[in-house]
Formats: sequence, structure tokens, C-alpha cells
Amino acid sequence: MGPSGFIAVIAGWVTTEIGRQPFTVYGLLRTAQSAAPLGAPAVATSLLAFVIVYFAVFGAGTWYVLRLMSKPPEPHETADPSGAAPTRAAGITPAAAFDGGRA
Amino acid sequence: MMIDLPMIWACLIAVGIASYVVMDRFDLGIGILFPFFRVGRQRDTAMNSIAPVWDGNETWIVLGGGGLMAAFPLAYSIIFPALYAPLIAMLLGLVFRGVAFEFRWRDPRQRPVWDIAFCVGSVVAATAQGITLGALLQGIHVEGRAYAGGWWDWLTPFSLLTGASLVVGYSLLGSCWLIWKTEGALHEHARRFAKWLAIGLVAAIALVSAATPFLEGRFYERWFGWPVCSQARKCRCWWP
Repeated sequence: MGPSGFIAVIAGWVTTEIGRQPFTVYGLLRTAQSAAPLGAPAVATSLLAFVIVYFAVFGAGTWYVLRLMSKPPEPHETADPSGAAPTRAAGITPAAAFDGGRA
Repeated sequence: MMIDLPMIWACLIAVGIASYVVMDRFDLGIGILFPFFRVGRQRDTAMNSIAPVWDGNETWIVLGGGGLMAAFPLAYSIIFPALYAPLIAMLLGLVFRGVAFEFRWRDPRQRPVWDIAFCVGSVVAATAQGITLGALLQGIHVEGRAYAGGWWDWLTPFSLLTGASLVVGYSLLGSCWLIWKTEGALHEHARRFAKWLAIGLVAAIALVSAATPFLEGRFYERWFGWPVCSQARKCRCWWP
């Protein structure tokens, strides 16, 4: 069931984006009228760059999540035994570094 | 000067961008200086000192960009295509440095990789913002109501100079933040950086100021022309 939420979010996004075509604002503004005067090569290059960066970042993130999931919880474990964990950070979950003790 | 809606929005966007530079760019500076900190305690402390605040402070630029789109859609539709490449580069740089805050704690063996991502992302974002600033100063070619320049118009010696200057300025902000927030070896380290960066920043300000009048005739006149008030313009010769 893990990825089902992710698939649902993507499916909803695709539905809104494709469902409203050929309009940006349904019935009022066509996509062709609202498009920026950007050359196709410029858009293609930025899209490619985002695909590469997202694959790298999400690939690393997925790998870290799977590694963390494969590590069983131990009694009395702290966030990071080396003491180098973030003290307080916006959006950072206090999850263990999975090799924290053996670094 | 009238207080109307465009004026209020121009002030709001200016406040947003100014807040962003003052309250957030020291963390970009710390990213730029990151390779100069010793691996271990120094880098961890430097990162921890900005970790609680960087994410919130960064939101100010969303007010700047979003406000520009909502209040001045014509300016937005001209400026963003003109600066497409540096703005995309800035976003990609911010992705890498943002994610480094999370990932560098996860696996100590890969920490050097995310330290590099943090530094390179910060340098790219700072340079791109400086280039954006320089490109706005040197002017954008407009015909009718649309951008009429090429894809590389933003890349000039002047915009590269402003890009490099902003890297120096942000680094100074970062080292001053560390002087304020840390003690011990890192504090002393930051103090030494700040001294040289302050000299560098003054030099950068002098260089950019010296180059600006030669960008356009109107700038040159504003700098070197003797103020002449014709009778008709007398009351507003202080204002363009």
C-alpha cells in the first residue's frame, strides 16, 4: 500500500492539468494565449535539468528512507550517538542517521 | 507621488526582497564559506546555527516573486522570460542546498557529498541572483508588451561582476552571522573571514558603482551631469 498515496496525488495532479486543456482558465483563457514567449529549446533544457535533479534528489531520499526502514529499532537509542545531529531544524524529522554509531 | 495600489504593492515587493536579503542570505553565505570550515564540529555548528531559520526566511522571496506576478503581471511576463536561465539555475541550486540540510545527517559516509551539494548549490544560487540583479540594471529589451531580446542577453561582463559581488556580500553576511552566533575556533575563523570579505565587498561596491554609469547614457547623466532645472520641471527635478 506504500506508494498508493503518492500515485493518488500524481493522478489528481495530472487530471487537473490535462483535464482543463486547452484552457489555462477554463472557458476564459486558452493555454496558447497564456504561454510565456520562451523558446522550445529553453523549456526543454530546464525540464531536462529538473528531471535529472529530481531523480538524483528523490533517488537519494528514497534510498535513505529504505535504509532507515531496514534498520530495526533498538532500546534506548538516541537520535545520533555521535552528537552531531541537527539541534533544531524546520521540517527535519528527528530520525536516526542509520550509521551514526559506526561512523 | 501618489499613494495608490501600485505604489503600495511596489513597496510590499521591495520589503519582501529586502527582508529576504537581510534575513536569509547569511545562510547562503555560510553555504559559500562551507568548504573553509573544518570537517566535523565546525561544519556541524555552522549548519545548526542556520537550520532553524533558513526555511522560514527563504519564504520572503516567494512574496517578492508572487507579488510581482499578482500585482505587476506585465513586468513579470517580461522579466521572467528575459532571466529564464539564471532563475532556473537559482532554483536548482536552492534544491541542492535545501536538501543538504536534511541528507547530510543521514549517512556520515556520504556527508562529504552533501557538503559539496550545500556549497555548490549556495554559490550557484548567489551568483544567479547577482546576475539577475545585474541584468535588471543593464536593462531588458522590450518591444510592445513583450520581451524581445535573446536567450543570452543576461550574460554580460557587468552581470558577471554583480554575480561575483553578491557572492562576496552574502559571504560577509554569513561570516557576521557566525561571529554573532558562535564562539571558540569557529568564531575566530569567521572574524578573519569577515575582515577580508568586508574589504572585498567595499572593492566590489566600488567596481559596480564605477561600471554602472557606462551602462546607459541616462545613468551617466544622472551621475556626472550638472543638475539643470528648466522652468517646467523645476518642482520635480529631484525625481525622475
